[in-house]
Amino acid sequence: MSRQGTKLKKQNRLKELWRRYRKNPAAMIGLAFVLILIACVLFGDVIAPYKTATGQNIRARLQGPSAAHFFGTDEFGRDVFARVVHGARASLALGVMTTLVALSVGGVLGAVAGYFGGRIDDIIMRLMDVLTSIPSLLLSLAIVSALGAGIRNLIIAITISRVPAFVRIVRSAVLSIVDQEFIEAAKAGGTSDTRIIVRHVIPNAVGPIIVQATMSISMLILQAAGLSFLGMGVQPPRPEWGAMLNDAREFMRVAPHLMIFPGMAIVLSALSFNLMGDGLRDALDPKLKS
Amino acid sequence: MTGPRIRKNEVPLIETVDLKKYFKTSRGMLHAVDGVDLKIMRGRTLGVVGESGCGKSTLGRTILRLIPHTSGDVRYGGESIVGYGKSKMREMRRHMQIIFQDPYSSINPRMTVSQIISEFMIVNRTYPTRREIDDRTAELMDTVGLASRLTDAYPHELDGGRRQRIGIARALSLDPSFIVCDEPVSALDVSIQAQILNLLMDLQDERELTYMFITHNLSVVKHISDDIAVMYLGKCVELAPSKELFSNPLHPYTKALIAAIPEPRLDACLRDSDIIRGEVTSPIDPPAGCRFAARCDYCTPACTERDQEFRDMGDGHFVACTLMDG
Amino acid sequence: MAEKSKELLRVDDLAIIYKTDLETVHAVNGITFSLERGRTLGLVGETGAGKTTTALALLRLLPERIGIVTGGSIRFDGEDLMSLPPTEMRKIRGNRISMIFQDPMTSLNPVLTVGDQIAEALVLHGEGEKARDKVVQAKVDEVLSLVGIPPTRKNEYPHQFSGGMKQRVVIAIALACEPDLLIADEPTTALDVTIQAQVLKMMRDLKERLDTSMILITHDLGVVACTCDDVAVMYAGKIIECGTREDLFREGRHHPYTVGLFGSIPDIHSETTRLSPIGGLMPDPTNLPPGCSFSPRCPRCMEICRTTEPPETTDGTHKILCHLYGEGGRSR
Repeated sequence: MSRQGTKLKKQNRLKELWRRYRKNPAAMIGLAFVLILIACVLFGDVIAPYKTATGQNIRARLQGPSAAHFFGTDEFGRDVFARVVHGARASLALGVMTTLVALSVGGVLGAVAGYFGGRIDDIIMRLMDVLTSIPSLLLSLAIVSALGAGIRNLIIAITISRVPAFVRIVRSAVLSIVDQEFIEAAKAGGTSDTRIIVRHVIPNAVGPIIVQATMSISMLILQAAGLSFLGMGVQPPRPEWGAMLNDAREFMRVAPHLMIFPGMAIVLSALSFNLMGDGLRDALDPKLKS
Repeated sequence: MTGPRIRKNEVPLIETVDLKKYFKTSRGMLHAVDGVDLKIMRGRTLGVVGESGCGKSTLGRTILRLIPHTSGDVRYGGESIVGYGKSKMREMRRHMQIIFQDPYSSINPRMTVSQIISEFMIVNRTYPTRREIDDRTAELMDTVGLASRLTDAYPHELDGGRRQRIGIARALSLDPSFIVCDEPVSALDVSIQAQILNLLMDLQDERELTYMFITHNLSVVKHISDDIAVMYLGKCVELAPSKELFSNPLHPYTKALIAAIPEPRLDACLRDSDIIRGEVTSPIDPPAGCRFAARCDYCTPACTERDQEFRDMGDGHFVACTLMDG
Repeated sequence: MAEKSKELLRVDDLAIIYKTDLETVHAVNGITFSLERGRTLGLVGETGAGKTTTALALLRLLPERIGIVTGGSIRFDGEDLMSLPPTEMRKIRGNRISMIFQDPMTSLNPVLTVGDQIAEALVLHGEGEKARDKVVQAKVDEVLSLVGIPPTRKNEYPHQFSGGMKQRVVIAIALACEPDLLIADEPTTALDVTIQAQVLKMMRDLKERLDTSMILITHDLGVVACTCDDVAVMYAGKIIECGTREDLFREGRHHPYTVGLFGSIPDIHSETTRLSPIGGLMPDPTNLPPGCSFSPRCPRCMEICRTTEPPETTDGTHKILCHLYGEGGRSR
């Protein structure tokens, strides 16, 4: 009798969320750009063939923006537009992947620390304190140099540096929920700890966590671009915005477009995820605003 | 407790023996519940009344073992439950439930009405099929007066009174014998309060429920209880059948509490002489003797020398006060 | 004093809505009342009756853009409050009309000492140049002892005070400038009974000493019985019954809602087994029923109640808004 109705209600709730989200123009711009990014990842080859992003063409080196090459070409004559489009894949993948991994590791640790408290909480949080006391860029650099450059190690490095932040967020979200009486009620009804966490704690903590995750994507896009800029991340010839910036340094005077376009891509994608996160926060919790 | 309905030698459904619950704080030991002896007979209501910080909520939760006790004993049907292991305690929880004060924080905002009510039955596998659980949920909603169209409603769509009905249905879902009602009507509007009180009393008649009704509201507690225990700073200072407590209060604190009730009548107005001075003292490492001594007009040296014994004044009336000595 | 009229506050046909994109809440629907100097008016009602909205409107503190006064007038000491420019209104607020809220915990600034907060209120309202002034400090001591707090505690922070003491501090701040009108919104609801008795007694004494008029908002008829001179019972944004304390608490003709409210309170002197509550729930303020808003819950509802707004029946100071006592309705 009720499962169908529940599904319907869930849809209504999403609709309500969307209605509130839509009212925020900045958040809509953020969402639009994120959708463009996703389109670049999914349909990159349709927008600009991967060949043009990696294929060298010495005759067309360092050309400015034109009808043939919207964003011009680089020192090997590769189409910058195609490289920016395909670079989205690496950046977005890095941002999303690392956030997801950090979120799941941090989420479990944070939930355990917050729910059980006591000694487990102490151990986990002191470990996180140690991790946070090392600057995250330095930590990532150290990990990458120990493991070697490459996209997989980059993910590992960034994830580790990001885990403490998620542990803290999830822990505090959980702490604010375990205090509430419905958790006590669940215990009084004989509900097991696992079921309480899965069914009562996490669904109520999801809002702030989603917001933080969205914000984190933008941060990690920046961090990944930073590491690639330092040559620790994506290896050539694969296009990546940070690496493109690094390559462009030498030609800054003759071909400024080599910096401008990937730079803008980084800034815009980071900004749009932030705007989206802000919008989501306001839409999820209308009480916070005003 | 004695009463007309009770046979001699009947085992109380709930009994606490010198029950203590201390909390460790940075400033010392907080004596939340400090040696409470209570008996509740099957089918009866014990009202526990006192002001904030007197330990009445902690007492309820300690009896249900939602928080571990410090010392003493809790007995259900004569059997000590404080030593029960995890699985045995889970079995026990079916018989002992709780209704909370806050209709907002006591139900999960992400679950629908039917999900909240059916949750305990699913967890405890009370019924073999989903169908039976759904039927039983519908039945419970009907019992507590929730319209069936609310099955799929989320709590935020409902007012406090209906949320409280959800809490009651959830507590009933496992067919318990004993329910701790922790200020179940304090957060509600007066007209809704009366509806819920009536519902609780009807349910008690139909199902022979045993209540421990915790509240700070004396008129409510008088209305619903057979017996009343007055608590002050972790101690039970007076215990008597409801009518007796109001007609013949013995402890100075009980007298002050009754005098402080603002009554909705023209002739009943707070008289200055009835208002007790001062505020509740700290429950952290309290000195020996009567906890109320600092605010009491009848305080004698004997009051602060030693802890007060609970004296039997006959007819189920007990009081812990030196005034009643010899 | 002679030229002052007896009437301090007069509210006429005040109507307030809360408007959001989604819905319009009809919070207050045409209420009329007046308050004489030195008297206390109790505004009684349940959640959503419009009590607090009325109070906020008196201070012009309704949430901007959302809370809209759609009609009526508020005259305070002969002045039309609604047409006052914001700067003038600010002078009235705190200086001549003060408000205290239910929750003493959130009404105080946690990082300022209690004495400083009272001094600040005094300085803001021109009782001296600086908070450190001797005059101001002397006044702080005076105000604190007035509310029963030893002045030696003025250098303590709010967290060092108990709930009852904090509410006393809040009252001290509200009274610091000796306002003509004090609006108290559920001032003792968050307090324990014995402390509530202390605070109520203190408020009663202070009102007499300072000759302040007071509007006491509460849901507790018991509190009304021992503090108020006049009582107005609100339901769904309307005053459905008002009069003096005696009018309301004496046996006789009453609005069925008032009767229901009394029936909902357990009487410690009688031995009833069941209460006689009002059935049903508060009506949805975005969609009030036609006719009398209480009609869906009213045990004595008639045909006419569902269609026509009830007339006001006046008997001296006692007014009831109900068809039962109107000309068309049957009398009891």
